[in-house]
Amino acid sequence: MDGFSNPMPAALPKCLQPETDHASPPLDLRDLVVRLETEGITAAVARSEFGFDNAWDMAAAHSDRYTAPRALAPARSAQATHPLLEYLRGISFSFPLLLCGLATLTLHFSLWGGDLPQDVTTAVALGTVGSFVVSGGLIQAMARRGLFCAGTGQYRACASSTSVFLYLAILFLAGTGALGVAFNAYFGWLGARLNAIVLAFHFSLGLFWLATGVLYMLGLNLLVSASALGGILMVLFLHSICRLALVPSQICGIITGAAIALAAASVVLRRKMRTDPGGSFRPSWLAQAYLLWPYFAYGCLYYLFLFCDRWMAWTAGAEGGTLPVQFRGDYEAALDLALVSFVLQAGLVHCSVVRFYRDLVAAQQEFDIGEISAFNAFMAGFYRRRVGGFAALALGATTLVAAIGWRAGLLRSPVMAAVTGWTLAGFPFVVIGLWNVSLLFALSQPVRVLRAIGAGCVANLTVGYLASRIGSYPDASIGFLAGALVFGVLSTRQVLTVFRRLDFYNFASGS
Amino acid sequence: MTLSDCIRVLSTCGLLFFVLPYRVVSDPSAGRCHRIAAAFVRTCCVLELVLLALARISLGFGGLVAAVYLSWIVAWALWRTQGHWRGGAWRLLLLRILRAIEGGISWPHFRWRWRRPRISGLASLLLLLVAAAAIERSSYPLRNLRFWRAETYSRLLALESVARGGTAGALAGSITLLLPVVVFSGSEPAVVVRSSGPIFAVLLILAAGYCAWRISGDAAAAWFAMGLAAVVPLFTSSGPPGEISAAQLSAMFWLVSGAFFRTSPLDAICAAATAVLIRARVGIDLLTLGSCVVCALLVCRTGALRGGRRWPVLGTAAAAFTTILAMHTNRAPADTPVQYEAAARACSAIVRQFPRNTWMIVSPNQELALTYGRGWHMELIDLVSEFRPDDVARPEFRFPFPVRHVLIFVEKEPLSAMPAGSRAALARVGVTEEQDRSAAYREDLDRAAVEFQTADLLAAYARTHDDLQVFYEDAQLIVYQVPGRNPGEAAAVLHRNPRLEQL
Repeated sequence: MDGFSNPMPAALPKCLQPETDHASPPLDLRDLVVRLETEGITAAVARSEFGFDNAWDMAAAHSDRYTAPRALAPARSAQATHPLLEYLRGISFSFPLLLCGLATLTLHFSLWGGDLPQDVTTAVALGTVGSFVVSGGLIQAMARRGLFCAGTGQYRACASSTSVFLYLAILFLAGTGALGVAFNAYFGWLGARLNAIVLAFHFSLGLFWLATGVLYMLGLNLLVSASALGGILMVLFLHSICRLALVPSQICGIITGAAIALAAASVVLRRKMRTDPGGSFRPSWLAQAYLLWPYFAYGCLYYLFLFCDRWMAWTAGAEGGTLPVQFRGDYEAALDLALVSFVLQAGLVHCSVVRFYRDLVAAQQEFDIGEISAFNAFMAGFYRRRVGGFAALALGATTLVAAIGWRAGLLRSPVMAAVTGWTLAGFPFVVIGLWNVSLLFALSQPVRVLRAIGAGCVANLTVGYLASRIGSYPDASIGFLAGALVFGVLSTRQVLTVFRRLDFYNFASGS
Repeated sequence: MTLSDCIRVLSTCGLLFFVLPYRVVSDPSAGRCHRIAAAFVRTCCVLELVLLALARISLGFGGLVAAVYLSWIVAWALWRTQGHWRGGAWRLLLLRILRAIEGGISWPHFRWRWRRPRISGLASLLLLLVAAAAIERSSYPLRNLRFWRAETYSRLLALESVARGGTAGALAGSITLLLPVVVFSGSEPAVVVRSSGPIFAVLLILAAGYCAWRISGDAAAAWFAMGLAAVVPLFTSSGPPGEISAAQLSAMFWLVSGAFFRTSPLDAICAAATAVLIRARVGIDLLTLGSCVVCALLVCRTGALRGGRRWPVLGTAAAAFTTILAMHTNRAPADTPVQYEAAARACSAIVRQFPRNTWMIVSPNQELALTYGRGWHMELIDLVSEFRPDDVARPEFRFPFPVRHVLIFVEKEPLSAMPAGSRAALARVGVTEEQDRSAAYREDLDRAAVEFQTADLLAAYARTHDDLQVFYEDAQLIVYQVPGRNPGEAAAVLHRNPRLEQL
């Protein structure tokens, strides 16, 4: 033995091993280099262990690993559709609400709500709010993962990831429902019957939002309206024809709607899976939890933000009622009126995001590598112009809704006038906040979003609580304005910070 | 009150005033007893200051109370760990947790083996004394729903009022510490007031012992002071010692202030400030407790608790203290009550049986405190001054109250007929002059006359109506139940009748 042994040939990195079943094979040379470097193949390692000058040469030598690039889903930049169509697509989330509103006007009931006793209405409202807050976070996380898979053409992975999220969601809804029951038993807020109604609506509506979330993720917005319509028809059948009580009919209707949505999503996903030769999605779910928790937190906080003023209004001055929580019909009606303005403004968010992707790609091609500052300034200018557009639309939509409300005599009641006024003033900031959130998510900066929405929630809760307790319950809407202001301003500040180094954040996000 | 209520309030008090403050508020380098006492005093001082200010401006709402308490604890926790969570430490922690879960948790790491604690003889005596005192102090609240002192009704009413954004009154200082307990325990204020009495009574005994220990440095002196503080009030107090007064609560903080006086001036100031905020005037209770401590210190100084005489003296004293406490357990207080126990139990049954705010009680003002916020209340004197027997005897007459059930309490044997100055005590009950209908009892009619007129009124009503029912009856009290008007039908009555108070 001479004390030296022949060096063992180094094993190929995982990304170069032919037997490795990649869910997403490398797209090009740069992708392969990044994967090599991720596995620790620096220039020195490539030279000492594999005999290449650097990782680039090593990747080039294994070009067969990326020679068959996967057909990407049609890039959003390529979808140059008419702005009006994009705008309609942006407001399509409100179509099911419109259907429910029409059903209430004509049938006096809908998927939820209707002509119910005050205590049952309160229970239904609590269940509805709970379902939004709990499922909101899961939908965000599920959509983030699903959109990534669908955007890269990995429909099998998208389907398996979505189904896992749905199982998790069912467990989570059941868990939060049990927690709610335990809290209610401890504090003695509602009786057993009302508690059961809250639980039923929390669970069934949570499922419905999740199922429709899958449809939104797949871009099947009209099918959401169809599933809502199916649910309403089921309620109509059970309540008007079979003479079943309204609450059980509605729960059956909601479950029917969720089933329709899930069935439609399943059919579409199965069809798309035929074009995908890749494997299913089998990541470490704890690692996924680490990556996706900001999106989950954002979803929960956003819906909490939207509903905390209601929470404050329902619990303010409820000492004279039969329950410590009182659903306020006039407060809700005022919010519904202001919601019309929100829908009109929110359509522009979708258009602006589409435009952002398109202009970003165009600017990347237009500006040279040495013109980073000019690139960043150009995109900052784009952002400012869009905010200006938002402001103009907000002014128009707010004036229009206020004028309609005034002409229809809806604002003669002091409660309606106050709540509509404060919320109409707040919604433009929420819309700007949503636009900012879309940009920050696109640039993979979810923690920055959390700071803005978290501060917005705190402001909403604090101001709404104090205002509704010092004044009366309609003053809870002042909290909404305060929260919207904080959310809009802080998220804008975060976006401006990111846009100062957009080149870096854009590269880092891989968008 | 059930034992579960008591345990619920006890565990909430323990968590809010001892466990959480001990973990975050106190100085980790100090001794355990000092840490516990300092954390308790600091937390009480801050809560007393802030919550009293909020109560004075009618902002003692549950949400704000919870926010104040949690802010105090979180602020301390952040200050203790300042700089620790910067630089993505949260993410690192999350990642470590996820990796630990993914890699599996080694359960033997968490294995806990029971070891029999070694307790000294003096500690055993101390535990025995505390247990005996706790049983004696809680015997009355566990067996009774009524309170014995008129002041307790006023404190309860003040607590109910402040918790719903009302005014505080003169007793605000003594109830602010109970506000977080009401919020976090989810118990009714009446249950909290009833359960907190024995808790604070035992804390009072412990405060006497702590004071003696800090001054003398002798555990035996502390034990002796505790024994005296447990026994002496049994002979000096007219009511049950488990129903603590504002003066006793204040005295407890004065004793703790005395204990901290030499070693920790800041904590001493905190304790003194809390005592002053609870009750500015120094009362006889402080003198009594101070005498117990001084007596224990003097006994310690004579050497009776040292050397070979120590254990015979301690043993005799322990036997004496335990016997006296055991003899006083379940013993009825010497003074007269301000409410029948049956009336308190009827209130509890009404609250449990009928939905919130669908009923109204017509009675003297003691029932007001026990039903505040869950129903409506009308003074008996207002009923007899508003309705005449001729009016209610008309067949078409219906009581115009916008509730489903009206429950009228009539004492067959009026409490005011009893001697020993209970009338003066009755007259003191109430939070504000506006709410204090007892002045009318004192000035125009006495309680017996009002009860008689009410019975006469209901007899006239019963002659022409068949909907008068008896909700409860015994030898001293009868509770009638009559239907009110449909709330929708008679909603305006509520606004027209200024005497119908929403509680």
